[in-house]
Amino acid sequence: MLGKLMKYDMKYMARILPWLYLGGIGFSALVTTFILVINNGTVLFLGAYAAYFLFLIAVEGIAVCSSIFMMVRIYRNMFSDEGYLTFTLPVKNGDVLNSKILTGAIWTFFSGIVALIMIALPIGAAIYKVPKLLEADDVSIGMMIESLIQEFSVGLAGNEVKLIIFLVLTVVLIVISAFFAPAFYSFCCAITHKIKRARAFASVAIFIGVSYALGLIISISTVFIEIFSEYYMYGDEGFSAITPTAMIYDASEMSAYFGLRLNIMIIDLLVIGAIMAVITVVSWIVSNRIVNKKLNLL
Amino acid sequence: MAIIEYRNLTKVYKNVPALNGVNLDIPAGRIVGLLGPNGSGKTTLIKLSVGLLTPTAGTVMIDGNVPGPQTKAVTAYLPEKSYMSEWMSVESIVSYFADFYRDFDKNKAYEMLSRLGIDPKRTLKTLSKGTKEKVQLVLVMSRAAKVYFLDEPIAGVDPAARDYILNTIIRNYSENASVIISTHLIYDVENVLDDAIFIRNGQIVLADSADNIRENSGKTVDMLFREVFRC
Repeated sequence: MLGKLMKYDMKYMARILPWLYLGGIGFSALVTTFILVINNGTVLFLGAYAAYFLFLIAVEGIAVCSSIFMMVRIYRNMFSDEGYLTFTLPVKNGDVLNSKILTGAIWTFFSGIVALIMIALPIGAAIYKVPKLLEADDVSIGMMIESLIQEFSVGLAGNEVKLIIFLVLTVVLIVISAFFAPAFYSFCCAITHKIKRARAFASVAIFIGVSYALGLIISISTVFIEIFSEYYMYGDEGFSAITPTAMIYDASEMSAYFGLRLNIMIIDLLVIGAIMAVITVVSWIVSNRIVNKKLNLL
Repeated sequence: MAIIEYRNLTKVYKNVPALNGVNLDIPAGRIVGLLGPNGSGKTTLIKLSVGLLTPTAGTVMIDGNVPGPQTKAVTAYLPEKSYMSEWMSVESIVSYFADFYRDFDKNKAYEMLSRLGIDPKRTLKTLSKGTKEKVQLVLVMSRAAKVYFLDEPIAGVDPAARDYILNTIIRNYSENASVIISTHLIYDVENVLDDAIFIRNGQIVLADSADNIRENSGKTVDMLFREVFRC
């Protein structure tokens, strides 16, 4: 029965999200074409700069839209009048919840892939364009990009294992994030479902409020991790022991700096992942208990 | 044998009891009127029976089981409100019912829709409120359930539509099934009822067969209802 529930939840989301994805990838293709066609370095630089901000908006837009559709589906199908049908289907109430969380996670995952494609296309085009720019009259932009790539390769030397750990943890965090939003929003709906008026508003308000509070906690913890790591690695001098300007001339310093940054990012990922995983699991357990044992659709 | 059993069933909303220690058996194969004024606890009793509410105390048993997937598989529920997803077409909601309910007869649903002149390709949001109610009734009555809970099926509709709804219920409910119709419009349903349950302030005031009520009181069920619930 879980499969059948998911079929209809997927259908609901499939009404709009694929079109949003097509729009996003279309926009990315336009920017990619711009990068490939324009040979003037300055124009390309300014265009890429503008495109960068548009990208942020588009990628964020896709993430926000898919979250909104998922939240609308959870609220309407479970806790509005539609819940009268959903919770009288011959399925376990917990399966109704699991279907929403799994479907939400799958669509969040799709949104992530689309965002990756949207970013990868122009980055790929920019890397492809470097030699062409070097050949062109305006060499400075090409050189800048080339030196960035070189710095990155030098910095990574000796830090390959850390990079792999970082990438694995990133994937794990993406998976946790995919489950976080639907599980946590289900929790917000479940704990507010007995309210007679403005139920939807209450659930969204709790979701947004707690998400922002969580963001704040994560930001503060990130800053503390940064400070702690600095002193742990370099003592009282902190980062002043190595500066980005010095690194350009010293490969070993560059590698050490990259190593430290990777360490910090790995700790960040572990802390953020742990917080999100705990909230996701607790949300799921509490929501399950409410829909199974304490359901009261007014 | 009773297909529905309520034992000391109590439901309290914020310290206000909506149902207060209900004890009742409803046998199989009967059309039962759950009769009471607004706010008497009819909808609460039905919602507890279909698993939309959790009892504060006491138990509900449908076909020997507490409300859950097993009871929902044999229970058809028609709420007061529209419970269908507006974005779906009529044919997709028919498929939805067919997907989840083994006792759902797709052909019967399409026949009834065709008799009503409802285009299955239309989405629910394009249908009028009355047509949506008819679609919902068709979906519920296309099931061969053991128990039908119909919450105020004739409230807010014109007399012609009331006749249509009652005829649809009578013609289509499966034999040996129990049909529980909650309403305060007794006059319209009296002729189809086998049993009547009067409910007031969350308590059962009277539960008997319609024939016994008429014989013992010398009044129609409607007349007795007006007398019992006189303001």
